[in-house]
Amino acid sequence: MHESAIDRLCMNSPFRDLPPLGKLILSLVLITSALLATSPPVPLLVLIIGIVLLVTSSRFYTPRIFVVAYLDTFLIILIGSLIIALLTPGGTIWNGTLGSISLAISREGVNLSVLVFLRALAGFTVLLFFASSTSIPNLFIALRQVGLPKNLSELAVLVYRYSFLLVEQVEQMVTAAQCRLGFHDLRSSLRTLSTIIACTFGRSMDFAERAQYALYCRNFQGNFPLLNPPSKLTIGWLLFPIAIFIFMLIFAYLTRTWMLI
Amino acid sequence: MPELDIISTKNLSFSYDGKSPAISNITLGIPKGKKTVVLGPNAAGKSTLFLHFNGVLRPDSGEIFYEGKKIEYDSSSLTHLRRNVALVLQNPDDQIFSATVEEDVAFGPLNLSLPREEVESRVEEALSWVGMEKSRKRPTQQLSFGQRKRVALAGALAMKPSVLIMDEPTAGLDYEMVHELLELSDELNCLGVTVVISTHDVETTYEWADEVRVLKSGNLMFSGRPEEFFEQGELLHDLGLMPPLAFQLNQQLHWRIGRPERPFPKNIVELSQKCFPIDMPKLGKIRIVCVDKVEDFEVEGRTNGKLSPTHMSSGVYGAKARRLANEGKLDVHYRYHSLEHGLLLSSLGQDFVLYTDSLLLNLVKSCVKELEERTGLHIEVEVVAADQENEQKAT
Repeated sequence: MHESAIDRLCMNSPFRDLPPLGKLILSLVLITSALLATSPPVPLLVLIIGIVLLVTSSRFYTPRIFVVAYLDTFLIILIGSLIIALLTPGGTIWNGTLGSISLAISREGVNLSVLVFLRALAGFTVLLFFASSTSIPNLFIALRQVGLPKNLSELAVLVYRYSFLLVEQVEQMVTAAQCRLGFHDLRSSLRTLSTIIACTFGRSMDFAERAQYALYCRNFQGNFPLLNPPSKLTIGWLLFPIAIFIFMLIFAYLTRTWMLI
Repeated sequence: MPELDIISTKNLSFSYDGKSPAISNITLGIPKGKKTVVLGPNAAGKSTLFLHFNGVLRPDSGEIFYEGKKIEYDSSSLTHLRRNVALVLQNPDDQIFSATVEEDVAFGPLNLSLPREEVESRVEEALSWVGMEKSRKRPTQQLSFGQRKRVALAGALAMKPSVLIMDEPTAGLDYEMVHELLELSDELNCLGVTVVISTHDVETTYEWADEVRVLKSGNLMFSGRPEEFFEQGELLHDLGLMPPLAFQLNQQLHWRIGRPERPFPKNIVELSQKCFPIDMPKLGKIRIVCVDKVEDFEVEGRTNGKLSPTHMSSGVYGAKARRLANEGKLDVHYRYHSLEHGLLLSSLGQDFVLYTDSLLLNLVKSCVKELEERTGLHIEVEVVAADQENEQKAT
């Protein structure tokens, strides 16, 4: 399962035990810096930082889902940037025709598309770093520190845990349906799919009931105590991203005129 | 209620929908310190009964007693009950809700508001019982079914219960895991834990259990010792059950050549001795090496220099010894059914080395003694190294 691959990355990440909120703030600061910059150097720097963090976090292990997601995103960003380059008006540096359509690329268009491309790729890379180093339960538990209600965070952890079980169930049902020609044409596929969806709902209710019994069996007192809660956000972890942000702002200001062409 | 029953019920009835009863009018007892099997087909009411033992379900009518006191359903009484009576559900996925193994095992002890050090030590101990100590930090969704079963069991063991109830613990497990689980149950029982399991398996019931309670369609059909149950041919027929193989062979021996039925042979050693008695001039010896005492396990047969013949057959018994074998620190011939193999080989005149835990020393000795009583075979037991403190703990 793809979810397991990402989960495995989180568990093996050297950044796993760092405060989730600290990592979240750092990621947001890097993304914001890249978005605020008006020239490519800052997004490029953020992209490089993101790649270094991602590679270190994943210890050079790249699950297939990561590669596919990265290539997909890369392609989408590339196409989007090309469209921007073609649609932005300005001083023409190249023109040509594609059949009956005339195309022109302007200097402003190229600069903007490069900026958008780097911003988007940098942002995505930093997000991947965050996803590969912080597990969802840890993030939700850490969010309690900034006021997320306890019940909500516990609910999120339970939903996360049970979503894996439901996905497992759905996979089994799909396999069972395939074995009995459940997907052999469009009509049967739609019918099978609707049956599986209805069945999944029923099973989720079943899960909920049995989980409740299990909670009582294990002396549930109304909350989920943790043996090793994730590290809390410290002043240091608050100041470090702020320092990075200030540095990025200064760097962005100094390099504001550095355009590609 | 008899004082010896740690859990008992009186006229217990329960229905999920208010119409068709899941269990009706059940009066039974679970003897303290024994291994009890609740036997019955699907929908017999086994799981429902277990949920009552743990206070999860409240009976429609009737009463449940823990240590002679009626179960109350207020918060503190239920906490007391669930601290002492741990239930392992059939499907481990129902029971595991934390993100990592250690968090899940710690869930129960943390609910008891125990100090952190105590919780840590319980988690470590429970995971070591089930051989999952190396998976402590793993996410629970990445575990195999067998590993999830182990974690679910560790979660119950971490409560340090007086009564351990396992709902169909062997369902869906491979042979090795079933054997490990039953052996672990023996160990826990040896330490004074009352173990109750539900199963469909008559062989396990006959070999493993001290007591059996048989349910069908929510009614109690039998309560007593396994051999007494399997003697009741008509009842077995009604329940659609076949007697265990050892029991059937013993019956054939009785019917065909007039051998007395009692004592009933429970395992291959006793059965072999009854079917094919050998009058050996000298029986083999069982040498017991307690793994918690001896530090150096580099080569089997060289431990402390006391086990001279290196070709001697050997085996491990108990979780600790098996872990050493699995880690490659012990080189043994048998990892499963070692005690049985040891007794069988000894009855054939061969010596056997049994690596085990000091806690299990008395259990091994009692098995040998039981064999002696049942078959007349006198097998010598030599304890090479033992931890007196642990041995006394087990006593």
